Amino acid sequence: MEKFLVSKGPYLRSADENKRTTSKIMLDVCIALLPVILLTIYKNVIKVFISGTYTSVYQALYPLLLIIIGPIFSILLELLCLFIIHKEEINNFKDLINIEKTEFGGLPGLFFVLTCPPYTPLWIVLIGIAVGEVVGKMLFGGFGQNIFNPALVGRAFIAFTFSNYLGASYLSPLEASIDAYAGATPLTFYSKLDIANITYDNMVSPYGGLLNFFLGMTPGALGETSALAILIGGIYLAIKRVIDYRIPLVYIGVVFITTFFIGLKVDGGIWYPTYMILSGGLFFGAFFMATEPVTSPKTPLARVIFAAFLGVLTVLFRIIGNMPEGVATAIVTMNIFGLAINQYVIKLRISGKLEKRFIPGMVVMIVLFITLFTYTIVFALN
Amino acid sequence: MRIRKVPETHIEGFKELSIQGETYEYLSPKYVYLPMQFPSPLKELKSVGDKVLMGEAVLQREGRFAIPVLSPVSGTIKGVVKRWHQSNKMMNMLEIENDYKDTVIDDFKNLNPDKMDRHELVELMKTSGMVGMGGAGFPTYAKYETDKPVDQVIINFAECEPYITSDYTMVKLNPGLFIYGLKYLMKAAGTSKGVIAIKNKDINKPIIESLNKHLLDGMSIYLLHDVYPAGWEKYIVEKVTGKTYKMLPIEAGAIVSNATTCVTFAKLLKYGLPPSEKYVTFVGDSLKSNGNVLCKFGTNVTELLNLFGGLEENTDRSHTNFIAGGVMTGGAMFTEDFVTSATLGAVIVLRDKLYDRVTPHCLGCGTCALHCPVHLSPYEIKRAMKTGNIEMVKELEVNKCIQCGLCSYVCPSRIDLTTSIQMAKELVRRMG
Repeated sequence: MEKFLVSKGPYLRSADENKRTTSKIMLDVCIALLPVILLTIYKNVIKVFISGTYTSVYQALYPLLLIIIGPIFSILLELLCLFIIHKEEINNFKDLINIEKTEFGGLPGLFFVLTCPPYTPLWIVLIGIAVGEVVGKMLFGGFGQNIFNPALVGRAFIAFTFSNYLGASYLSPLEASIDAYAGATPLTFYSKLDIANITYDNMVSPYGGLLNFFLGMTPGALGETSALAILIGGIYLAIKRVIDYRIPLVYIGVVFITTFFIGLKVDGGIWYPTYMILSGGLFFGAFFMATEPVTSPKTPLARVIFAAFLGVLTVLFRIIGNMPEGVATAIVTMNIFGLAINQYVIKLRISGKLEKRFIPGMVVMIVLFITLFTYTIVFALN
Repeated sequence: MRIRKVPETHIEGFKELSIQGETYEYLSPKYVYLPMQFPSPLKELKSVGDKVLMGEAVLQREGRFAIPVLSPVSGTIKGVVKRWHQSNKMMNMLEIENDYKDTVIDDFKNLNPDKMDRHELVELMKTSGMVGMGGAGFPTYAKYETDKPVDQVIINFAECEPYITSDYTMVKLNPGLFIYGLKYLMKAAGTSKGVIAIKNKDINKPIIESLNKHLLDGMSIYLLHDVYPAGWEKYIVEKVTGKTYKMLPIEAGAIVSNATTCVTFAKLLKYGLPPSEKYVTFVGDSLKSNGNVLCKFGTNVTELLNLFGGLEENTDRSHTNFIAGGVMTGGAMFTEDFVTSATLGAVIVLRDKLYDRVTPHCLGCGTCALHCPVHLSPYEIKRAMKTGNIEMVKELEVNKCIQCGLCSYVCPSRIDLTTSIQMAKELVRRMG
């Protein structure tokens, strides 16, 4: 009599019941990106078409082209890497596709493009994806093994290497025709201002009020401008339990509180922290990048600490470091410390000391924050 | 000691399948088989050719928790044969041929439990070879033979494994016996308090109602959440007593026994029937029909399988798991030709859903860690095992694992975490 299959238990898996599989989680991420993509197409393509300010159709469709090319190039690159890595096991193209099915190669490319300015030169985009995909992901062993968020590795790379090219690629033809947009994006504009000139009239009025920031009708990276669209996608992910709501909540919260105190010295308005959380890549980073399961800590407390540090780092990078892409740099930096935080927390958790040390830990955190607040405020004023 | 909140995970029960099915009795098998090497080599008290009565000790488990193994039928010992054990190992077993007379040994006749004191009851548990029938097979007397104060006896009637309705059927058909058994378990523990811990779910409602009618003084019902692992001894003790313990429930003043054990004890006291039979659930998508069967320990599963019509005609064996025990903690067998025991609650035959599917790597979502009842981080243990970092595996306290199977169950990438952790645990244990 033929033997029965002896597979490894347990023999009931929620993944088999098709409740929550990794593919489904990745699909949910794509669904959550839909509002972001739709809005950016509306803002960067449709609106430009309607206004008629474009010089060629290629120019008008360029942002859309990037969104399509990003994931495709990323997948192609990954197929190449996988072919090199798994040379012995691969007999035909189908094998390769089967391996790729579990790697979700399109997502880093898509995420990367969404953090890029809409008119980034194509060669820079390709270099960025190549760095992110190969250095950030495949060199670590592929999906699930990477320490850094691949998209942000690429993004940080091009931000530091090609910053001259990027500065000019933010404005759509329509936006370029508006005189009031003195700087490329609200944040690059901000970084050029003296403290004395940081006022509502200088910072927010040119862009037509804070509501425009919320809706995403300000110049900025493809997927990063609209807090509303990101919020819709992010809440969907949080409800589906793909991401932990704690990370965006704490991250944005810390940035808001920190900049609120800084704002007291600057101008005193509530507009300042609001402006700070709505501009740049903070919302996109907080909801989609910092929460990426592979590279973020796995336990709730570790996530809270991780997100709080992200907030502080972002503010430091933005206000004192005057760095481009404060959010991307902060997240890539914290990816490393996140590992250490996670290791510490899981050991506390296993031994049952987590609950005991939770409150002292929080106190230490708050003290740390206050120190950083003061530090930030003092230096921001110089 | 402080109680830590145990993450509770609801798992679909699939209990209706076997409840709606037939309930059979199969108490006269031609042969029964008693394993001679499980859990450790046993001492032979009878030799080949000897006549044995039902309830006569034929094997003896030695060591700290010494206990005899009784013959479940009366008849003759035919020989020592190799048979498959439910741990998917082939081992030597005593083959006893049934004479169909069911002549019970005199020791258990005319017991009068009302006149027996606590120690006599515990001694009876020992001589009758009673072991816990939930799955661990721990000798019952060892729990009751204690000098520590006992506040209450808790009956573990959670049956939290999906599919299995063995305890359910036993209690549903014998509610009176169940309460009778609890009464004397309480007496054996020297306490006047007994708690029946049962899951609060729809299919249990009729049982809870009928038990409520039978309850005696000092007995109560505790409703557990419909979660996994609600049948974990520590979980139940913490819920019922509000206290926790390190090694044994007695530290929290509780003794926990399984529901079937309780009924078995009642049958022994009331009818003089030694522990020899229990319900086994037969269920699964590859079986012709589902249901429960009351059978002797040591019955060949092939015979029982025939009662349910056997396997579906088009069953592809190489893609089917034949599981001895529950789906969460049981193990798959190579063949259906193995024998039941006091600890086998179910035989589940399921088509394997994995074989044609590609499974991704660990996504790092941390779901396994969030669901682990003992707060481990299974993905970290697996990673440390992969890199051969034994020190790390130890630091991650893999020995705390209760092997409930939840980490594998919840994993969206369908990674065999439980198996890895079992291996890690074994490795750490062997290295000391």
